[in-house]
Amino acid sequence: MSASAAEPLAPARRGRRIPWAIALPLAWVTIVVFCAVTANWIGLADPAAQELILRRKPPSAEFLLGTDNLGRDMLSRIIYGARTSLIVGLCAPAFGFLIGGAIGMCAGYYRGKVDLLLVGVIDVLLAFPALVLALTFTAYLGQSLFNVTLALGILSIPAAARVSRANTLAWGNRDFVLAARTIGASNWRILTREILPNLLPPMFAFWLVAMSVVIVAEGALSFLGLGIPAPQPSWGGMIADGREALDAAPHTALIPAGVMFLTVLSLNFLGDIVRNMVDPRRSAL
Amino acid sequence: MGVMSRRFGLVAALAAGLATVPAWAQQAAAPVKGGTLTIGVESDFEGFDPIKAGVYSNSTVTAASLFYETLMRLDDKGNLIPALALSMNANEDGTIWIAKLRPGVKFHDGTPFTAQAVADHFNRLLDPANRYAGRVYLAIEKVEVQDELTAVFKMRGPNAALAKVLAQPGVATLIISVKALNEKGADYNRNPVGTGPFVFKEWRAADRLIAERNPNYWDKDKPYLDRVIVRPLPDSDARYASLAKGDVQVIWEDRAENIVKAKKDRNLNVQTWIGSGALVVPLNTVKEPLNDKRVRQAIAMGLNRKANAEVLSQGLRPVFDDPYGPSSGIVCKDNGALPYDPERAKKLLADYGKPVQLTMTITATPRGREGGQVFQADMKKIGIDVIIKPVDQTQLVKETIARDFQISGWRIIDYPDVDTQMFANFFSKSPINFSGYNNPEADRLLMVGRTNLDEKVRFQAYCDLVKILNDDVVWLWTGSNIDFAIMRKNVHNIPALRGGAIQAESAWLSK
Amino acid sequence: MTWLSRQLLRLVAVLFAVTLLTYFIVNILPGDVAIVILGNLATPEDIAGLRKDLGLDRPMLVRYFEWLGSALSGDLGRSYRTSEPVAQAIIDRLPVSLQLMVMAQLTAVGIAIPAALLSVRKPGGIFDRISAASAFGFLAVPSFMLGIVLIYVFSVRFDLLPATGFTPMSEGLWDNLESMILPALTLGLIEWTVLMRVLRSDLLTTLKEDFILLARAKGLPPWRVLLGHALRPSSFTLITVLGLNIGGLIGGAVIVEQIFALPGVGRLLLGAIFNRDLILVQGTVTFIATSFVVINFLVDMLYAVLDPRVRHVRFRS
Repeated sequence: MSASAAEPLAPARRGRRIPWAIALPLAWVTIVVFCAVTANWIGLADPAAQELILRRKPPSAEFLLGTDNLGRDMLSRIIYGARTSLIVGLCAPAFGFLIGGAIGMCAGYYRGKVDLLLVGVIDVLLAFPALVLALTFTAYLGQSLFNVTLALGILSIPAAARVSRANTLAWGNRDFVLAARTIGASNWRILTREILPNLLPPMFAFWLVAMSVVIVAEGALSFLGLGIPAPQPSWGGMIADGREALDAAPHTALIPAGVMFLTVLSLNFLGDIVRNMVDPRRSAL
Repeated sequence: MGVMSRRFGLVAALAAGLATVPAWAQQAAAPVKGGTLTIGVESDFEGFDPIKAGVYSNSTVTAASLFYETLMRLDDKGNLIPALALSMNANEDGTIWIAKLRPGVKFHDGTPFTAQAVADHFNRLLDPANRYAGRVYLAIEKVEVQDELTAVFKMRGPNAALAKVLAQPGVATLIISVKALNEKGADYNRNPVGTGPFVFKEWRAADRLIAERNPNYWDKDKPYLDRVIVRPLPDSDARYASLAKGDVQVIWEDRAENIVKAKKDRNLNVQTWIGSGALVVPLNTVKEPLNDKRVRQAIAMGLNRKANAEVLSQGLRPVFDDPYGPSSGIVCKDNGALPYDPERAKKLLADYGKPVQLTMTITATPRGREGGQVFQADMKKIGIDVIIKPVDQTQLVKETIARDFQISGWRIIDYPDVDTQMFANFFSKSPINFSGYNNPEADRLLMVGRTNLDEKVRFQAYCDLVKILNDDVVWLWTGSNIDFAIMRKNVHNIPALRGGAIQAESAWLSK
Repeated sequence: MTWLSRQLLRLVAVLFAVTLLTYFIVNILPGDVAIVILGNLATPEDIAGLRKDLGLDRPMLVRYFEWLGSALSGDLGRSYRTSEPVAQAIIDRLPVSLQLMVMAQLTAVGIAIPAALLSVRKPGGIFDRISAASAFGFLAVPSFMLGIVLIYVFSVRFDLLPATGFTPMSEGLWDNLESMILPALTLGLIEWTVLMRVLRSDLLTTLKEDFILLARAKGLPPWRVLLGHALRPSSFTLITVLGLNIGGLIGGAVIVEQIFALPGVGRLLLGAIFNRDLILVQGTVTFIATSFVVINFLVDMLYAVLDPRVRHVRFRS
């Protein structure tokens, strides 16, 4: 692509970057990931151990983040919940974007019959109400972390496919693609070398958004009773459970909501920065 | 102190359940006429043709009792009072019941209410071709017409409880106009015709049902209200917010958080009803390892039923050692309940010798999850691994009835007489005895309860029965059936919440 | 003409596949409408009998083609459970869902486009940061939480709007709008975030194009460059996502409908699934899928309008 892209923006932006805008989100995500990975070894209480008498206790020295509706240690549940939410949040969109992205690229590039067929497949998937799909999945295969992740992953295929197809359509007509074709570049080469790099920024931006959406969507499934089965904690599920005691024990909903908020915020901020760094047009300069 | 307050809580709750006329109702004596009452319930209605609906949820009974009525009615203390029937009496051996009907009553479409209408309603339910599931348990052979205002109920055997059973509003007991049904066909389900205090006007699915004052109602003073609207509000918190805002004036509720909040609110009153029946945890006594009595007893002694219910319901839900409840009238001196004793439970399990792992099927709802996790945690303490399997309601019912479960979550519904439910659940040859329980002595006691006319003998039989059931640990009784209605201060005279239904026939609104 | 007929053929093929898939999927769901209708006390014989009456004992494919036959003649059947005609049930609920969808999308687009335009004027600037932070923030709030908070604030605390329920337009326009503000706000406040982020990202890409630099070089004021030159070619992803939202919301606003007790299509579908009311599920899914496919078709047309090169190619092929 022409190297004359609006470069004035990037250096100016880099120059104005405030360190804490990177440091804080990075620190937060690092803490969350570290805790999620090491949950078993950092001396946490059993996230499923309940002491009903101690339910809904506010944060204290004994329970740093208080206890939930069933008297379980919130700190432990938040950290084990981080593990669940991160697994779902990373894996589901990754699955969807791998498959959906490829489908969308092929459809947008080859057009004609291939497009017709692939878009048809995506349309079927898309037109099928997400709710029915998720319900069928969990009702038929059973509720488990794997099935919930898979269901959310399948649900993100069409969105990824449409974004990648729409962008491929737009890029496929560009002069540099036509030029590559006229000099006899193979389809594979054009797809991977010319089109894919241009797809990555919008796809990556969308993937970050999708990740947050999936973490929240897992909570929505929990609200409908279709999430990760109890007693395994997830942030969304904890919010759904804590919601009914919003007056009596606000911390049971607000703490997981706050943690989820900070994580989604940090991931997106980091994503923004990462995207600027991996932008192929910029690094090609 | 914990024990003291628990006891006190129990007694207070009991008193509230039995004497449901709260102090505030006595202050305001003269009913005011007019106004619109909006009631918030939990779920949308199944429809109002009993055969199409099969079962009425408490939300549906709330709506249906606006335009349908029962033959007799129960007052708040459980006494029979006349409604569509002036009286219902049995012959000497209880094989025939005669209902004398109120003259001059008309259905909303103008046709007179006669013995023929009563016979048509019940015979339609009893006809096997119509597959009304409850017919097996109705104990009626058929209903005949003696004269225009006398209906004769021929029973399948001696029966002591018919008048009471037919007095609680429900899918079979609320009398519909079969004539109107035949004329309207499939549309009847959404356009009901009855004799009740309000006339059906409109049902906007999932939104609201509107009923208006019946000007020709047989009880000339009633109803006091001009219009009643019933709205399904599925989200419990949003339902409460609608009440706090004043969009609705009464709501049905069962979440403890909202009840406790309402009790502190000066603008709201809380009405409580502890019915018969119970929340239960059925054990599949046929399948390994629950076919071993020691394992079942260990579970019973490992589950801290009373403390759990006490904490989770914030002291609102009492737990009994039988599934009868205060409104059944049955009081057992000795029920043979096993105590909470985790140490003995562990010994029994050690005696059994093999590791025990169980799957508990629950509904994928906050209620189901809560119960499942509490059960799981208690079992873990005595060394039993419980896996929770959340499924939706339909699937739970299907799997349980098919005996494809180990432990489940269930409810024995609030019924004025315990025979129907106990017989269905524990009689060895009952098609829905899904625990697979088979005990000749229990069968004998159930037959006594069903056929004996002497209330004392019947109640003793049920006490003897519960002793056996508690020792064998077929089902665990995890809490009473308790229903709450929260209403704004200007709402008066809502009767006892039998079966969880809110009835508006005698309700009125003060300014 | 060939392009149009091809598109129509595709539309039909997709709908055929969706209906067949739905039939397959709802039929393998565990649970049984016969048990739902007959209740917990039902005997196995009665359940089998009712299944036979409802025709559920016959092979799935036979039932599917029978259903398809009558669906093509406009008859979607009657609900197994409430005996309400399926078409009527959908028509009754459609205005609610449509209104909710339109109001939510207007809210979302109304926030997203200005926010994105203001953000890209100075990427990394203070407004960009604030709008990014609030977008990420709203993204992290589950709708079931946001809905109840809005109810508590706007209805209970300040007594401004009704907490739950739907007032039809026939009972007054303001009453009707009033009842939909909070639900639309709940959805809109969450949906604008995605729209804003994709639009911002595409705008940034477009702003690096030669023709923008040219426009700038000509001395056009920045806002005219943004609105006149950059916005339209940057709306591909926005329209894609919008199309998805619109299609998805017709049946997908279940949680909001549930909390605000709105009688929309989503709740109809949820109830039908839980009750295993197969014929109602089938009809509702078919309806949702049809609207979805049609909206998609329109989005495809919009691409053509936005980028003439796409139209050129598609019409030629």
